[in-house]
Order: sequence, then structure tokens, then C-alpha cells
Amino acid sequence: MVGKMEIRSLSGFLARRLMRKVAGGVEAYLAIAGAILLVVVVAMTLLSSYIAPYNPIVEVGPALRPPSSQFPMGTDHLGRDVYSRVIYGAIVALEVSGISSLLSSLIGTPFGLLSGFLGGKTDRLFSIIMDSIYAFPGLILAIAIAAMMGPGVINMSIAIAVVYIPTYFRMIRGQVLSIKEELYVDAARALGAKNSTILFRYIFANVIPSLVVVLSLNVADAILTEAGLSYLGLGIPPPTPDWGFDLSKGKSFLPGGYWWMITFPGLMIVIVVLGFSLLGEGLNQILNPRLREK
Amino acid sequence: MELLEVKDLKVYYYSNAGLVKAVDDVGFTLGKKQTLGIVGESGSGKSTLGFSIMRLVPRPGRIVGGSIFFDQENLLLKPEKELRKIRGRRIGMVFQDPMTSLNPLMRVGDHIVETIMRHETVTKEQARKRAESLLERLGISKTRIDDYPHQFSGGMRQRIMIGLALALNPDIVIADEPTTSLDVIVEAQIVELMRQLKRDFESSMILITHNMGIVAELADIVVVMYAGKMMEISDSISLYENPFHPYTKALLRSIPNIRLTSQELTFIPGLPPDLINPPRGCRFQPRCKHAMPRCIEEEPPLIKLEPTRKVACFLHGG
Amino acid sequence: MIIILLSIIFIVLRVMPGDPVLAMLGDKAPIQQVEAMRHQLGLDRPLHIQFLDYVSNLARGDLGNSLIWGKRPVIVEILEHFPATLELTIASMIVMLLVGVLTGAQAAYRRNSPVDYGLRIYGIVIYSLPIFWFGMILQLIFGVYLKWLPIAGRIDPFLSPHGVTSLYTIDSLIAGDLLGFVSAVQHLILPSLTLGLVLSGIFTRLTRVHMLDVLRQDFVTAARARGLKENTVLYKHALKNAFIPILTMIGLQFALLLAGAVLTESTFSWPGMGSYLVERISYRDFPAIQGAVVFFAVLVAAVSVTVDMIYAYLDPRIRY
Repeated sequence: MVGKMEIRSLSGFLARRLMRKVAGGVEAYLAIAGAILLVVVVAMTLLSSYIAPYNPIVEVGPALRPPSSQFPMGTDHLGRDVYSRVIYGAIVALEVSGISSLLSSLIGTPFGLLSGFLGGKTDRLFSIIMDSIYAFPGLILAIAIAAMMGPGVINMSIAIAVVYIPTYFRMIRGQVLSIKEELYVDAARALGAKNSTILFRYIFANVIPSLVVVLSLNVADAILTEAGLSYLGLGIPPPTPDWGFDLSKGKSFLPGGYWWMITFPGLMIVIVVLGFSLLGEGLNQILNPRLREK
Repeated sequence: MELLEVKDLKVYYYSNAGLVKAVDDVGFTLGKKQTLGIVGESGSGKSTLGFSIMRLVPRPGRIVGGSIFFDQENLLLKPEKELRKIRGRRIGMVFQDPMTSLNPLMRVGDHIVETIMRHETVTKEQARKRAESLLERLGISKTRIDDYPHQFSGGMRQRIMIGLALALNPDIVIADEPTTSLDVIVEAQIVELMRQLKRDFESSMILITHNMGIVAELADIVVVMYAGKMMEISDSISLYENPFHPYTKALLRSIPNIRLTSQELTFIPGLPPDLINPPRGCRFQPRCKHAMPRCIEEEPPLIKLEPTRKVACFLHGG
Repeated sequence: MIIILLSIIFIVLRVMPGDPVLAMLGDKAPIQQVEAMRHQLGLDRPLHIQFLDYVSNLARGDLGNSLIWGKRPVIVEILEHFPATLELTIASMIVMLLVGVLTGAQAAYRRNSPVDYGLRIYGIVIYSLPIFWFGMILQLIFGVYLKWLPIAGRIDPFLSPHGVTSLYTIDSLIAGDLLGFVSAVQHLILPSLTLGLVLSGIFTRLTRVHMLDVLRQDFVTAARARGLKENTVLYKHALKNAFIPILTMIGLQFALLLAGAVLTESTFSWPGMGSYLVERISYRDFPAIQGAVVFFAVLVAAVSVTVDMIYAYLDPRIRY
């Protein structure tokens, strides 16, 4: 009895240790899976004109046909190829989410750096403004801005960018605050380094890993927001292929059982969003290791 | 058979760093109304030993060998469901840190009532009555039965903890470092309380601690552990008057004695043992003044020197 | 903080590029019409006067009048649509919490097991789904193919419960109207599942983290040492403690609930505030748009204050 117990647990233990060495942790898997998805998506986008069999904005066949060998994802109500529209749709999605994320980070980060470093009244002022925006439902804010500004890629990007500025602000500010406490910044100051040097070299360098993570997750979110805006009619005007827009059009045909107009664009959104999400989550686990779980 | 018989117990932790042999071949018996003291440094395996009797060894630890006979049944073979009936009812446990061992969201009285009602079929009112009298017994006013743990001091919380362990009049109470988190004055009170309750409840006790002082006051038998192994087991009077094992002697010497003003604080030289790669032969050998070449090659077996005393040391034979 | 928010809304709607009047009338409208509308809305006055007006009106609960149809007060129209959103939000919150917290607790309890990994992946994946798409898929499956549940509206158009709360489910219960109750519940299922499930992903992860923390603590082992049943230990002791930080998150997630509600309402033709907002945007009804957005802001602020109060009540360490 005794011997058996010991042998069994021992071998199980060794097996698990082996597995862990091979797997390298779930985290790495996540990031890799995400990265793979993204590479595929980006490649698809860049090569869209070569991959897509048809022109996505013109009628190329009979309307409302289910998936077939000629039209692998079927045709929509205007006789356009859904597959081509899905491929080209990535352009808008990535454009808008990319631009807006860039904008958000470019505005939010300096403010966060400044606010965290300066502290005092400036910090309080900025913080309360940013917190207010952050607390408000993002989509609704984007809706309001987009409604006022009108359709178009740039306008949408700006609308979405505003929503995510506080995210960067808070993250950067938080990092700055905690790094401020770190001893080596004091040490640098003791050695006579100027304020700005301290700021940029030490703090910024430490902030970059988190920035990358937030960017990735931001893009994921932004894609969803962009799709939402288009779905509600506030996005890119037709006939530009856009997933959210196609989904809203497909909705009218749902009761008739025309499932392909909705399923494929939506799946595409899920894939791209998952790609960025997994990448961000995976990077997060790698760069900010939490307590090693046994 | 005695109330509790532990034989050849092995408890290992399967950690990321490696296999930690926390308890390696430990055995002892405990009789009715006896108090067993288990002493050793941090990392000696004594707490793990305590938890394993209740089979509450936390992951990634596992009991990998040996037997624990409680009332003639091997606890290691029992299914979880039956163990739950034993825990709290026939074996109780007092935890080390009173600040964290009570549920902060639950009233103190409810802790007791919940335990009583889990194991016995009584009404809530009856359970409450018993909780009230238990609190009184512990020196806590029964009007405080509906207070929350954070409203009590550390010493009082530990009393509650002790009360919880004794609520159902268990056969054995395992006290894991019951006074380590308390200051000296409160410690004295708790020791006195434990002495009284031991008498009144007639339960056996396993007292796990590194404090040689309270072991002297409360224990009938003492087990000295080091690096997961038993170094010596003896009745407490003999242990204190005439310790056999070098480690035991060193432990006793390291208790500061307030009366001997000229005494220097002695300590045991060397580092605590690595439980993943323990020293060859006798585990204490790297730090032992009397180490012989044989101590490095072989592990000394536990030998009975007197009817109530066993030692694992080549100095004393074997 | 609410003041800041309201100010920001003001800024967004009037100061930012994009002329609301042109947006409303279209940029081909004759100049006189544009000027007339601008004057009517008070948008030709200096900004600071506009702002004062805005604030004082808000203090009185006056959100202006709608520009279309009956020109009714916006606040009235919003309050008409509010109960629908409230019902949807509450139902979704229930789904979100039930699914999220329970899955999170199980994931923590079975740490590093396949169940754990599966649930964590579930959490990430489901949160990546666009709410409106998920809703449509559910509509397809349960409404169109299986024909089990309705896919639009709040209730069978031939039944109309009237009642105290305007929450159809409760009103019909109170009135003893069983048919109405069943219909209301049927219509509520898919939308609340859509919104609730997608958002539950966050709570799965959140609960898991907090539960892991709590399960590590002494009092949990101590509870086991008293022989309490595993379920008691898990739910009554561990989860209850983990729940308090989760509660604060609910307050923060309420904004997400509202945002998601807008999309859900659109998908299911649910006549709530979200639909109202979207509709008014298509009509360029500026006062209504502003009013709705302001209302959302107030709502979010109110909920966060309420959550703070509940939190203070639930944690005895704060209470005593």
C-alpha cells in the first residue's frame, strides 16, 4: 500500500514537471495563438486585392444565395460576394482601430506621464477629467461624438480615440507613480540627473511593456466599438465593405433564415478581436508575471 | 491500541522547485488525555505533521506513505466524506494566526453555531445557548456573541479559536503554534486557558510549536523534529532534565534564561536544512558538534534507550 | 465628478468639430433656415451663456424639447423608454453575475485543471464576441430555426400590461396576468442572455482571481478543519469574502452594461433608451440626443454612488 502510493505520486509528479517544461506555460501559448491569428489576418488584409475573388462593391451574382462553390460565403442582398466583402472589411476595421489606438496612446501617454510625475493640483485636475470619461459608457460617448462629426474613417477614429485616452492615461500614470517610489530614481537624482532625464529614461523605459499590452487590448476593443458604430449606422458610408455595416444589413434578412450574411462577417470580427486579445493577455502574463501558481 | 497511532508517515510537497520531503518516516502514539508536544525549528515539518493528521495538507503536498490510526481506523484510507465527520467533531484544530483564521464576514457566535449544527442535530437556539456558555468558559462575555472577529483583540480571537476546536468535545485537539502570534503576557494567559480546558474537557492534545517553554508546561511526551525526521521522542520530564540528542540539547540551551545574566545567547551554527536535497546520513550532522564520520554515511535509526525514550543518534548507540 | 462629465458632454456636443445644426438640416439647407434653427436652439449665443443655460436647465430636470413630431419634453420621452432599459439591464446583470461568478468560483476551486483552463478560455472568447452579433446568432438558432423564443420586442403585441413599475415582468406578476408574464419573460430571455453572457466573461476572470486569494487564507482551511461540507466552505465562507471586491467591479461594469444595452436593444428591437438614442440620431434630433446622453451620465453616476453605499453596508469591518 505504502509503496504503491509513493510510486504513483512520484511518477505523476515527474510527468507533470516534464509537461511544464515543454508547454512553457499557458501564457506563452496564448500570446503565440494570438500572434498567429493576427499574422494571418494582417496578411489577408494586405493581400486582399489578390485573395478576394470578386470586387466587393459591385453586383457579381444573384442576390441572397447561400454558400456555394462559386461563392464560398454566399451573396448578399445586392448580389455581392460576402467572402470578398469579409476580406476587404478588414481594411476598415484595422484602419480605424489602428488609427484610434495610436491617437489614444499618443494623447493619453504624455498626459499620464506628466500628471504622474508632477503630482499635486495638476494631477488631480487631469485625473478627475480622465476618470469621468473613463466611467462613462464608451460606446455611448463614441456614438455621441460620431453623431456630431458625421461619417468617415477619420471621424470614427477620432470618436473612438477619445473613449480610450483615459485608459492610457491611467495606466501610464499608475506606472509612473509606482516607479517614482522606486529607489533607483532617487539614486539617479542623487547623482545629479536632470528631471527630464529621469522622466524619460527610467520611467518611460519601464512603461513600454505595459504600453504594448494595453495597445493590443485597445485595438481589440476598438474593433468591437467600430463594428458597433457601423452597426448602428454611424460608420463608414456604403458601399465600402465594413463588417458592422454588413451585419446591420444582414439583420433584416435574419427572419428569412439567410444566415450567411451575418455569420461570416461576425466570425471575422471574433477572430481578429480574439487575435489581439490573446496577444495582449499572453504578453501581459509574460511581461508581468504574477505569483507562480503551483 | 492507543487513541492515535502514527507509523512511518511520509508527507512530500511536489513543488516547482523540486520534491520537498517535509515529513519523512515519522511515528508516535498518543493516548487518552495525553499531551504530545512536537517541537522543531521552522521548516522542520511539524506543522505539516499536524495538518496531515487531519489530512488537510495543502496542495502541492501529498501524504505518500505510512498510516495514521485513529481509534483503530486508518485515516489515510478513509474517504473524504467520512473524514469531514471526524474533523471538528473528534479531532479539532487551533490555528496559528488568530487574525486570519476567523471568517471576517461572520459573527463570532455563528462560527460556533455553524460547527455545532453541522455535526449534531440540534436547533439553532440550542446551539446558540451552547455557544454562549462556551464563550463564558473562555472568558468572553456572552453578550459579544454577535460581534465580528475584527472587534476582538488577538488574544481573545485565539480563545475563540480554541473554543471552536473544543466546541464538540473532540478526542484530540491539534494546536499549531497557538501562541506564536501573541505577545508574552497573552501567551501566558492562553497557556493557562489551555491547561484548564485540557483538564475540563479531558481531551488529548498535540501541541506543535518551536517554543520549548510552553511545551515544558503542557506536554507529557515530546517529539523533537528536524528536517522532517524525528530526532528524539521522550517523556517531557526526562527530556528537559537529561536530553539525549545534540539537537535537543542545543534547543534547550537556546532558550534565554532571564536569571542567568551573564549567559551569552547561544545559537545553533549552520544553515537550516535543504529539504529538497537533505544532508546525507544524519540530517543534523552538518551542524552537530559531535558529528562523526559515521554520521555522514549512515542515517541513525530511532533506538529505544529507556521505556519512554527513543533517540536517533549514533552517540547513543545503533 | 458628475459635473465634469456633464461639462464634457457639453463640450462634445457643442464645441467639437461638427456643426449640430448642419448635421440636422443637412449641409445643403438654405442659410436662413440654418440661422433660424441656430437661434431657436440658442446656439448662436456666446458659449459661456449657453453653458449656464445648460446647467440651470439640468438642475431643474429640463432636458429641452424634442425637435420632431410632437415636440414633447425630452425628459418625458426618456422616462418612457427608461423602464425597458432598466428591465433589460437588471435581467442581464443577473445572468452576468450568475454565470460569471459561479464559473469563476469553480475555476478557482479547480485550479489548473482542464475545467479551469476551459473556463478561462471561455471567459476570454465570450468577451471577444460582438454583442450584436452574438444576439443575432441566438436569434437565428432559437428564434428562426428552433422557433422556441421570440426575437423582437418586449412582449406579445396583443398583450399590454399596465402597471406600477413599467417593468413588464413585474407588472404582469402583480396583476396576476399569467399570459402577459410568460410573454414578457419569453421576450426577455434572449436579449438578457446575449448581454449577460458576453459580459460574464469579465466576471469569470475577476471572480477566479479573488477566489484564489481567498481560498488561500487561513480561515478557509480552518473551516475545513471543523468538518464543514465543501460546498459550505466554498460558497458560504470563501465566495462571500471574494464577493465584496467583485461588487465594486459591478459598479464599474455598469457602464459596459449600458453600452451593451444600446447594441442589444437595437438587435432585438427592444424599445429602451438605447433605441431612443439611435433613433433620434438618425433624425438628427439634437436636444433629444443631448438629453439622452446626459441621462446616461446621471444614471452611471447614481449607480456608482449606490454601489459604494451597498459596499459600505455589506462589509462589517466598515460598518462597525
